[in-house]
Amino acid sequence: MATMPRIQELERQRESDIISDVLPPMVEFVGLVGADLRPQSKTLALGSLRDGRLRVVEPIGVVQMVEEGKCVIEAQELNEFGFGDNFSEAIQDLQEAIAELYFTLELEQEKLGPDLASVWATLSRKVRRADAAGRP
Amino acid sequence: MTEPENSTPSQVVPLLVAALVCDAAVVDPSTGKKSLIGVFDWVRVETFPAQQPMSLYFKVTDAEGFYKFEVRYIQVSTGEALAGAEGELRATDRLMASDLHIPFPSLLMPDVGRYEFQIWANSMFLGSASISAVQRRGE
Repeated sequence: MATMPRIQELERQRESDIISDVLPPMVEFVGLVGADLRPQSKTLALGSLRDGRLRVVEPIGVVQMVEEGKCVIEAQELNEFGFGDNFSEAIQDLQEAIAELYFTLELEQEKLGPDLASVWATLSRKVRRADAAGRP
Repeated sequence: MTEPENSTPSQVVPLLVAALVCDAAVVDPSTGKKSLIGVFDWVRVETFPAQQPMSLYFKVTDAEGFYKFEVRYIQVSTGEALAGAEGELRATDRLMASDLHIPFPSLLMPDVGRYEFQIWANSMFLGSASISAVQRRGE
C-alpha cells in the first residue's frame, strides 16, 4: 500500500474551529491516496447486515475475490455469496443474502437437514434479532 | 505503577447507529453536544476532477474493549481509496455511545458517481455513508 505524508498539521489547523471531543488526539489521516484497494483475494469480517431487524453479534468471516472482473464476496461458513461490479455492491448483496437466509432458516428450523441445521447453528450464533435479543 | 492498557482488538461487534457526511461539526465546550452543519448526500460539480471539503460524523454503541477504527474514502465505481483516517477507541460500557467527527481536507472527486466513507473497526466492516457527485448543468 502506498503511503503519503501525514497531514496532521491540517487537522491541527482546523481544531480551533471544529472541535471533536471524543478521539481527536488519536485520530490521524493516513496516506491512502493512490492506494489500490480494488477487489483482490483477501479475508475480511462483516459486522453488520444493513437490516435494522438483525444484529451481528460475532464477526462473520468473508473472503473477497475477483472473478471475471466482478467482485465476489463469500461467507464460507454460511455458504453465501455476494456479487457486484465493486466492493460496495457485492457487500450489500451479501448482506441482503445473509439476512434473507436468516429469516428463511429461522422459519424452517424444525425441518432442516443436517447441512442447513449446521448453517443455522452458525448463523444464529453470529446474528440475532435486534428486537428480541436486545443487547447480547 | 499503572498497568499497561490492553490493546488486544475486541471481537465485540459495535453497532453503527449513525454515519453522516456534512460540511462541518461544532462542539459546545460546556455540554459536549455536537452540532452538524450542512448535512448532505450529493454535490453538484462544475468540472471534474473536483475537490470538496467534507466531514464525517459517526456514532457507535455496544462497543467493549479496544478498537482500531479506520475510515476509507472510496470511489465506488473503481474501488480506489482516495483518502482515509484512523483512530482508536477504548470502550468500557456497552450501554454508552461514542461519536466521532472527522474533518477531512478537500477530498478528490475524479468523476461523476458515488463516493463512500467505509467505516471499519478492528477490520470489521460496520457500514458506510455515501455521497453522489453530479454534473452541474448550464443555467
